[in-house]
Amino acid sequence: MTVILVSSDNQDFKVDKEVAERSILIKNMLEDVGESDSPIPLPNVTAAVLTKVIEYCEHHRNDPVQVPEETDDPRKRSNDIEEWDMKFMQVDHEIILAANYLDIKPLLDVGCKTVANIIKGKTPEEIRKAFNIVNDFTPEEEAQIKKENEWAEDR
Amino acid sequence: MTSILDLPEEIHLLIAEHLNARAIYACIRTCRSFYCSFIPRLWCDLSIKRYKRESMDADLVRAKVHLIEAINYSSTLTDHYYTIVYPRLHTLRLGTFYADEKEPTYLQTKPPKKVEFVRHHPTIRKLICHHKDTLPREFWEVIESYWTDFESLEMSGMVKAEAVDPFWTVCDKLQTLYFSDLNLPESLPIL
Repeated sequence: MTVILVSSDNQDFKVDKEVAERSILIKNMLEDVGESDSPIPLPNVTAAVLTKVIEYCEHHRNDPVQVPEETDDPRKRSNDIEEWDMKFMQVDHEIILAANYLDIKPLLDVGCKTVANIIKGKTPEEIRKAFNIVNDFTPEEEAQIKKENEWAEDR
Repeated sequence: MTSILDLPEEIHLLIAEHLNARAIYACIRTCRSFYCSFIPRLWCDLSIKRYKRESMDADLVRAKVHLIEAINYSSTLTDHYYTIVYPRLHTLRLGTFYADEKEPTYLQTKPPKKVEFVRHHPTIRKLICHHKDTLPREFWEVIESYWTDFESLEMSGMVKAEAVDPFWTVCDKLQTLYFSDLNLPESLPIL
C-alpha cells in the first residue's frame, strides 16, 4: 500500500506506507483519517528535504521500531553513527528540522549527533567558521562570560 | 537557507546532550543565541571541590542558583557554600575526594550547617553521600520532615548510634537504597 505525501512546494511523493510510517507524525495522521487515499500535505517540508527524508526512511525501513530511550550517558554513544547515516547527513539543518516536525526520532538523533561531532574539540572561532555564525558579543560580554564559566574548561 | 542558529532551542538541547562541559563552554562563547540555549545545560549539574583554592567562587554559584539542579559538594568546602539555597535542586552529592584528605581544612563545615542546608532544600529527590564525616541525628530528622519527594539514597561511611533511628525511618520510605561500606552500630533491622 502506498501513500502520497505533498511537500510545501506542491510536489507529490508516492511512498510505501511502511516507509512513510517511520514518521510518527504521518503514522498518527494515517491512523486518524483511517482508510483513505487522499494525499498528506506537509506544509513545513520542501521537496528537496522530503526527498532526503524519504531516502533515509527507505534505507531504514527494516529497522526495529525505536526502543525506549536507554538510560546510559548519551555522551558515550555519540560516536556510534552508522557509516551510511554519516554520509547521508553531512550538515543539513533542514533535515534536522524536518525530522523534528515529522517526528522521526532516529533521524533527529543522528542529526544532533552529527552536529555535536562537528562541535567537539573546536574553539569558539572554529565553531563560528563551521556554522557561519557571527560573533555578536561585545568584548565586555565576552570577558564576563569567560569569567563566569571558565571552570568548564577543566572538566 | 537555514543555519544551525535557526534550529529551535529544544534541538540545541538535544545537541548539547552529546557534548561535555568543555565543548558546551566553547559553544556559549560563539554568539548570543548559542549562549541562551546552552547555558542552562552547562550549569544544571555542578561539581565544586576545594584543594588549595575553591574550584568555583561561592558568589558566582549564588548568581546562577536558579539553573542548578544537581550539585557535588566536596567535604572541604567552607561554610559559605552551605548558606547557598538552590531552588531547583533535585540531586545532592556529598563526597570526600582524594585531594580533600590532604587539605588542612578538611571537614571544616560543622554538622549544624549541613542540617540547615538540608532544611532549605525540600526539593531534593536523590542524595549520594560518601562522606568521612558522620552526620548527626538532626540531619536525618530534617530530611524525614522536609524532603517530601525524597526517593533515592546512596551511602557509604558511618551512621552514629544516636542517628540510627531517624536514619532508618528515612530509609523505610525510599524507593532506592544503595549501601557500600556502611558501618552501623548495630545489626540491620528487618525492613
